[in-house]
Amino acid sequence: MVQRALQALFLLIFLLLLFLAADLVAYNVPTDIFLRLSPFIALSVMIAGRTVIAGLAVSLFLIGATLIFGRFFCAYVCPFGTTIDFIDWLALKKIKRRGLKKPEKVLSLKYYFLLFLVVSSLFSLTLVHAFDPLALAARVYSFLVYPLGIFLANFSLDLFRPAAGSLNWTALSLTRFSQPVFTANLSTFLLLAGIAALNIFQPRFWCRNLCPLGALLSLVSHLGFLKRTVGPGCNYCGQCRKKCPMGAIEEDPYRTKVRECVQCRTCVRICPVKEVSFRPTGPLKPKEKTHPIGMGLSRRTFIAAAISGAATSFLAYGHPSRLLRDPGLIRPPGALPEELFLDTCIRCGSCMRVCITNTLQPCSLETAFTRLWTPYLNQRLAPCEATCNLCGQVCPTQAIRRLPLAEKVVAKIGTAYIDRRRCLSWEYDRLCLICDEQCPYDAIDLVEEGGLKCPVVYEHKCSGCGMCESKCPVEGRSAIVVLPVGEIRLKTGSYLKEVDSLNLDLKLVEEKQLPAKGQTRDFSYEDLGLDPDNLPPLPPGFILDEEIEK
Amino acid sequence: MPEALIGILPVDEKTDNKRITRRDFLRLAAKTGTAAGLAFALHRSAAPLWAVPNLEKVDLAVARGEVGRSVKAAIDALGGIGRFVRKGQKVIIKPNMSFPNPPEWGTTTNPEVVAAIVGLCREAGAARILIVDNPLRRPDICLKRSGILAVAQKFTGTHVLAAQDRSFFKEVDVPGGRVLHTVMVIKDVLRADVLINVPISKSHNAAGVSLGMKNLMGLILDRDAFHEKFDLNQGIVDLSRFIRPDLIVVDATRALITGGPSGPGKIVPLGIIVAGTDPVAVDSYTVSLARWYGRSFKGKNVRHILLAHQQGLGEIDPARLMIKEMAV
Repeated sequence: MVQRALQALFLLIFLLLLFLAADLVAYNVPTDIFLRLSPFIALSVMIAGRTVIAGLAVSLFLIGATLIFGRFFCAYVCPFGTTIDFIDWLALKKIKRRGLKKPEKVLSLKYYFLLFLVVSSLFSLTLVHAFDPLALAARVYSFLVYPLGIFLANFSLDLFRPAAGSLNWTALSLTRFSQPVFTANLSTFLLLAGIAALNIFQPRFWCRNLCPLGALLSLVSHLGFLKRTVGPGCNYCGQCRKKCPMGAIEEDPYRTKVRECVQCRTCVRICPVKEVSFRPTGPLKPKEKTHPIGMGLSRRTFIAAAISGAATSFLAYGHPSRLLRDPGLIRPPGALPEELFLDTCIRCGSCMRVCITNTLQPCSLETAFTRLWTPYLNQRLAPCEATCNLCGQVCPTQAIRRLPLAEKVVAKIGTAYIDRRRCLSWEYDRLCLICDEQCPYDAIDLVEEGGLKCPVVYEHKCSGCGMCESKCPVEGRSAIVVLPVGEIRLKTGSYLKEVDSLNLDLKLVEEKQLPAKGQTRDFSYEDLGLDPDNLPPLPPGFILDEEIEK
Repeated sequence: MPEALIGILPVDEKTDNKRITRRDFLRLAAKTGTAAGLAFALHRSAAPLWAVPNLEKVDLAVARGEVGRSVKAAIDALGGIGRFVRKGQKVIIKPNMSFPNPPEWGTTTNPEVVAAIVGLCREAGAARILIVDNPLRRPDICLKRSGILAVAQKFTGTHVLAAQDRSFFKEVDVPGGRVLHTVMVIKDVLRADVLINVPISKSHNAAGVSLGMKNLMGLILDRDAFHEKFDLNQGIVDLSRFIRPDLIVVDATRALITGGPSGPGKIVPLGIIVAGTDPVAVDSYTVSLARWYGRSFKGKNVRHILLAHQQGLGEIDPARLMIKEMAV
């Protein structure tokens, strides 16, 4: 029960940090702390990117704790483990597990897997996103659970709305949440379902046999102080061996595979003679009888895993995506230079979860498998909100930099381009100008073309936010699209300075504020910063006196 | 009334000597006793019946000074809040909170203006006050950044709705619409007793200016059609014929004279509140307050205001209005 309670507690904290991230970052709460706890993420990302990410030092804490308490993380803290347990309890409680013919062999798979992933990182291919349990959990809750929660909330609000209206519960009758949508919801669901389905063989199949973070922790867990110990009164009933969710107890109940034990204490609870306990032991001798520390690795398979890691990274190296950029791929503002970004992004989905406009979406396989689930801006769906910098605030590996708002406002992610053959004004002679109306940077202006005002983009004022693209009323593909042209990706240093040196003019408001003097006529053109001989072009909504005469 | 009747605000220096108010004109007509003069007056003014002489009635109240006091003074000049809001009524306030920008950027209605109006409505005994808009950006951030949410939270019985979801709207016919035949309007607006329109004065890249009539587009769902399917100006007029605010209070504390509606542009701190009940008169007068795009215009230089006047929605010529200007 203690285990379940702690699991629930840690899952709750994980979810609160994930779902309330937008509000919590304002109070300097480290909402990404769970993801930064994983030494597997830290190791892979830093090796792949050949870089040191200070924030990931937190993972040393988990290593330290494992040295004391063993692999407790898996049983008590890991939100993905808890999720698997929950699904198991929900759907698989009553099934008869099939078991495995050679469980020992399968058990050691995770070490090969870990080696495979570390070697591929060594060759600069990060695959951590697909397999790290924390990244997996973050994606499951971001792409599946969160939209479902919002849907259900809105559904119940809609049901209750007529009643709330007549009860005069006005605030409730006016509440509605924006429904988030994510492109990777199907793939995330299938991955989760697949992993959960493996439980028909053994409980926690993933955690036992495949999880690379579990593998990494078990490399040191045998050094921990607390160990399962069996007293002399054992009656060899075999219950503990049968019930151990990790398969950590051998035929001889006195023997515990110490690397597999996650300290869940199921054996303590179910032992009919109460002979099992967890107590501090001294350092293990190499050939400890009761606590074998072998990993069951064969040299042959070990080498095979390393070679396949290297070979897989060649798949990335030999793929044209390394040289080519998807022409529409717009990265979040503050994203590191593309290569480093791909190495350090763990595809946890935190940025996409927190994105207030929902424009951040996970890349599909179509983009290239090396970019799978990395964030891009779907600007037809929604724009990047100019005055928001949340994505960088929640990024655990800082693949998206934590920019202050003033820096983020000028972090140019692309440039809008008008497809004149699709534009209502240019091609269809209609008065539209929505892109100009919406542009928060005033980067769109009007030119007179055949008696009609038509939009043009000033590249030096365009931040690439995509407001225009999202609002363009042309059906299907927008007549104004943002291309990655002119995007700024800085590993370090100031965007403000960079923008200055590039002579860009990215701003949301005129800096010059006028003193209150009464009417405009009290201000000279100079005060206003207007040139009387070169006034801004007039919107079509004005009609001059000469025209009225006509 | 405590405020001094300052008189008629000069609309344009060039026409100063030609200026004639409705009051002056009627007096003149009465003096000379010529029926022809009166007929001429009625003929020239396309305004409906309310143009029949009521010499004490103020058509437009213009106040400058501290924001809260200006709002109160302007509404008092029109007869006080009690003329518009009665005890137990449901009031809708329609500010512009379409952008996630602070009020200093001149793209959204000054929350102080909204707060002052909410306060007056509370005093008048309004049962429920709802501040609504269909913002152009994400509702939650627009509400927060524009400062309007804080206003709603300050007063009891006051709620705020940034309606974007279809379920908040209802399709209704637009009687007499020339281009707009049906429109999706926020349900609560249709059910309300009183509608107070509180636009900010700002430039608009398509309509020229965005004042009271243009602000009404924030009460409907499908705004794209105004740009895509039919003439925006006629659309605004059709909407204004259909949705008639009981009171219009223009927040001209700031005027965004270029770069509107979303900014960035030149922001001029006018410090003025304009209040009235005639949508054309209010907008037309406000046009003359600032140099939009660096030029001096009158109401008739804005197509949708001119169209509205021509189609009988109100008086476009400030010289024909009883305007009370005051400094508080």
